[in-house]
Formats: sequence, structure tokens, C-alpha cells
Amino acid sequence: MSKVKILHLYAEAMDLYGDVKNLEAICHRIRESGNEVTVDTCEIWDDMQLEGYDMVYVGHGKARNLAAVSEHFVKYGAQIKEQIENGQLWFVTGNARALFGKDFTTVDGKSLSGIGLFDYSAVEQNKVFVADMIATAVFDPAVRCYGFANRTAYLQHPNGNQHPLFRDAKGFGDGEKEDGCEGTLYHNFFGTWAMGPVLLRNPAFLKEILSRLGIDCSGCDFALEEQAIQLVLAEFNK
Amino acid sequence: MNLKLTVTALACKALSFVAQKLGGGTDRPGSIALKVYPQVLKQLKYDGKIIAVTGSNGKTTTSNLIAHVLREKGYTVVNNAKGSNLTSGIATTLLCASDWNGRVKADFVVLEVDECYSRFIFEDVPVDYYLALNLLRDQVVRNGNPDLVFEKVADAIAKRPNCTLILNAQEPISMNLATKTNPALYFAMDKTERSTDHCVSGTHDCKICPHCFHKMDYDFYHYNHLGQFHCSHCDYQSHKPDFFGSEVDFANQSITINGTKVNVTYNTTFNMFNTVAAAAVCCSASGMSMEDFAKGAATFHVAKERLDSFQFDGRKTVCMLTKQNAASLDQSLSYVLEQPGEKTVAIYINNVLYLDYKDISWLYDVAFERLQGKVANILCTGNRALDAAVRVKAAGFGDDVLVYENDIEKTKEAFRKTKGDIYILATSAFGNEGKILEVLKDE
Repeated sequence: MSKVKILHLYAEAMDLYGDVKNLEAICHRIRESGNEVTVDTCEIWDDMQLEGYDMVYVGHGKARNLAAVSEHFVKYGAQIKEQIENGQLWFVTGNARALFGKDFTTVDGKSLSGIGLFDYSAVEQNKVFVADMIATAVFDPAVRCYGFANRTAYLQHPNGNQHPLFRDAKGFGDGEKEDGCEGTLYHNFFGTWAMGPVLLRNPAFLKEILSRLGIDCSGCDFALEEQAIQLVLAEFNK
Repeated sequence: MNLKLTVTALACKALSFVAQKLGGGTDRPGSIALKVYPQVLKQLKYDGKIIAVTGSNGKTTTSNLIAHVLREKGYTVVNNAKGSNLTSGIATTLLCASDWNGRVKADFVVLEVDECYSRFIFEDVPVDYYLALNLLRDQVVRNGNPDLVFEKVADAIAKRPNCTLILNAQEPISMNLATKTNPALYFAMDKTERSTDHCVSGTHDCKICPHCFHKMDYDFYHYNHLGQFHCSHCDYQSHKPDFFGSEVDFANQSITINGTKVNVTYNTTFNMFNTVAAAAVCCSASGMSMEDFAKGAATFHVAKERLDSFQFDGRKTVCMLTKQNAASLDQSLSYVLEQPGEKTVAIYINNVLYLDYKDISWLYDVAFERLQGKVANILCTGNRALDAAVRVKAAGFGDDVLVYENDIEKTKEAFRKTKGDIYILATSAFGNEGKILEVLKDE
């Protein structure tokens, strides 16, 4: 039996459009497969301690809240980068990805720093971008995934997306135009704009996260989830 | 006389007349008028006061209630009753109500306005009273990040620095719309038997203070993040209300507002709260007494298309129409939980029409977990039935409760697998909600 320790970063400030259900799905499957899991939270007013955690989750949030947490986040930049380089699993959705890039520009034109783990820049704009995406997972080219984007920010990769999570992506990428790639997969760092929540919509993606946490979920029933994603993918192939 | 204005107004009236005869939409005539004469709304003159109503939830019902009460008091009122709340719908309403000189001769114009379109409407229409009911995360395919919706509403207010704001003292996001220049009135409601000390809804949009980003504390919640609040760090807190609802009696459908008992016709928390907001608007804009307000409110009825009741296979069946809005659906679940007897909750959800998005993320913001042990079955229907079933399964429901069928032709059979009274939550966005009723009523 494993004991998985998860840190939910900015649970109060970064919480939008059901994305926290990704975390609940991970916890549910860990328990269902006979293992233990604990989730601690770290807020903007807490001291961030990453040591000893198997996984860190940061979700999509409101624009002003993202700007507010960034100041707290960058203070721990060196520690965060070290953990990710050493293989700590991070699962990051939506605009929280902006925190890991070089910098990001808020809607009123202010430039804020990211931790610079990646070379991308994020731009927040007063325009809603909504799209469906289907794409092939880099972690398993046999897996096609579905994602939904609903965002007011985008990422700019100066040298192209060096570490995509998805390839052959149709519908959207990290930027405003399709460029074939979406998301980030770097060591055990997963980042994506896909919401939905993406792990419940894509059981193969959830299984990948669980397997990287050392969880054997072969005894769990994913039949309904599999049936649902196959139907979605079939609709795109019509 | 402005000939162009006269011609545009006449053309709009004619188009609207034809559209009504043909059963067409209310947006089109105004949309054409604005194309022909983009400045047309700026040219209109008003004899009376203009009231605008916005908010993520409840603006149609509340603006209809305000218009109803003002009419009952004997005032002449122009309003966009059917919820045509974008610029074009408002242009249709105003041009149809104007005379050939572009004068709107009514004591009150009551406009339901979309949050995101307020800034365009405020540019041209000299709003006197602006009621902001609430700001919650809303239709995901339109609104993106809720903070930007706030900015858009704030932009609208900045165009009318003398307009009186009527703000919700128990909703920390929209209460923050108060400015240094605009006069403001506040409304709030006392704790009720349905209030909770923690948030039981699927979403909570204001866990941290919008000023200092520290933890926000709540003495109690009405629903979602609406409740008596105070920041744990700075002095941002529920404003002292000018209009206060108390002694909320759900069983007898009444509420006391500023000491006067008001009977209401639809007894949800949501409606009680909106009634206090409507009282604030009616009394402050017209100077009517609370007794007059109570008299008018007692005869108001919620539009039938939002709540339809019929029999299916001899079982009581209620269809509740909801936008693609988690808070609204959560309210519907609260309503269902209040009903007696064995019951089935049926979710009807399709792809977002004409855009065909296959997203259902907002269903993850609804607290289906609350139905645990309280319903016989949960049935998922519509072409996104399987994805909805995945969501319901994630809420902890097994095969004993969960039924799903994505083929509309087999919907009746699926309903027959369920037990008890049926509550249909028709949640397809932008229309097509009628399809499931057609199928069930076609005996």
C-alpha cells in the first residue's frame, strides 16, 4: 500500500470551472485501488514547503487572483524549479501555467514575473477564447484526448513549444492559432489549457498520472469514462 | 425634427410588427436599425426614469417584477420583457416605444441588460438606476474569466457617474462595483431556515477578498458565495443595508422588507432575495411606499416557460429551464430537495448549439453530491448524457441510482427505468430545451 502526499497550491484563490475535480478524481482512484492519500493546502498567506510531497496541483483561476498569487509564487522559484527538475509530479491547468514561464502581461498592461522554468510568456487579454480540441498525448501516442478551452489568456513560445503535452492538436494550441502542439510535459510536470475537467474526460490521462505516482489502478472500473471519451472522439471523426 | 431618426424608428416598429406576426426574434429589428443608424440610441429622449438590471442570475425575473410592480402602481412602463438583453434587443425595445420625434413617453423604462453589454448600452442610454444583483461564474462559452465580466460592468458604470447604484450587500464581488461618485443603496436579507454556515453549492466564487486577497469569512450563506461576509484581514465587509428582508417564511411564502410583510408567489431563497432587490429599486426610483410595493409583488408570476409541470406515465413531472449556469442549476437542485416524496432528477444536456462544443465543465461546478441518499434515480439524457453520467458518477453515485441514455429516441424508455416524481433540469444552452418535452409529451 502506498501513501501519496499531495499539495494543493492556492486552493482558495485558484479555483474555477470545476478543475478541482481533477484532484478529487486522482484522490478517489488512489483510494479505490487500496492506497492512502492526504491533501494539504498552501495559500498566499502560508509559507510554501514542497519537500516530501509526491504531487503538487495548481488550478485555473480568476485573472486578478492569478496576479495576486504570482508575487507569492515567485518567492519560491528556486525551490519549485529544483523539485520539478528532480522529478516531483506537478499538475497545472489553465492560466496557472503563466506562473512557470518567463513573464506575463495582465489585462491592464502590467508585466509580472514568472519563475522562468520555461521560456514562454503569457498575455492576458480582454477577449474570451473558446474552443474544443482533440490531440494525441505525447506520453502515449496511441491515446487521443479531448480538451475544452475557455480562457482570456494565451502563451507565446519564442522558440516553439519545446516540451508539448499534446501533438497533432486540432482546435487550439497554447497560442491563439493552432500550431499542432498544446500543453507542457517536462519530466513529471504536466500543464494544459484543457479543462473539463480534463482527467475525468480522459481516463487514459488520469491513468498516466496515477502510474507516475506509483499507483496500480488496474482493478478500477473506467468503463463509463472510456465509453464517454470514445463517443466524443467519434463525433469529431464524423 | 431628425428625419433619419424618425425613419429608423418607424422602420424598426414596422420590422418588429412583422417579426411578431411571423414569430421571429426581438433582436433583429434593433440590430438592423443600429446598422442603418449607429447613433440612433443617442438621439432618443426620455420623459421618465431609466432603470437597468444586471447580474449573472435572476435579471429577467427581477426586472419583470420591477416592471410589474410599477405598472400595478399605475405608472407607464417600457421594458424588454422577453430577456432580449443585448444592445440590439434593447434598441428594438426603445425604438418601438418612441414617438416620431424619438421621445420615449413612459414614466419608467426598465431594461434587463447583459453584464458584458452594459458598457455599450450605458454609452448611449442615460441610465438613472442600475441594479447589480450578483456576479457569479456564468455561461462558460461566453464569459471566460469572471474578473473580466466585473471589469466590463465597472466600465459601464464609469460612463454614468451620477447613476444611482443598487448593490447587493451580501455579494462581495458585485458590491465592489461601488465608486467614489455614484450614489449607492444596498440590499440584504437576514439568515433564513435554509441558510447554511458553510457553502453547500458547487461553486464559491469569492473565497478570498477582492481587495487584499486574504481569506474571506462568512457568518452564513444564502447560496453559493452570497451571504453576510467580512474579510479576515482588511475592512471590506457587508455594507449596512438600506433595504433589508427578514422573517423569511418559505411555507407561507412571505418576507418582511423594512418592516412591511410582502407575499411572494415563488418561494425559493433566490426569489426572496431578488424581491428585496426589486423593492429597493421600486421604492427608491418612484418613491412608492413599501405597502405599495407589497401590493404589486403579491400578484407577480414567474414566466411559465421557466417552470413547466405535466404528467408522464401518470407521474408528476416538472421541467425547470436553466441557463448554462452552475449557480442556477444548484438553485434548481435546492428546489428539488425541498419537494416531498420519491423522486428522480433528470439532466438534459446537449452540445452547445450552433457552436457544437462538447464541453460540460460547468456541471462539475454543481453540487450533485447533495442528492446523495435523497433521490431514487439520476437520469442523464441529451447528446452529452455519457459525459454528464461521468460527472454524476464522480459525485459518488453507482449503477443503482445512475441511468443514462444519449439517444433522444430512447429517452422515454430511459425515464421508465426510473422511479418517483420527475424533475427535469433542461440545461441545453441557447434553446432546444423544448425537445425533451416534445418527446415526453408525445403520447
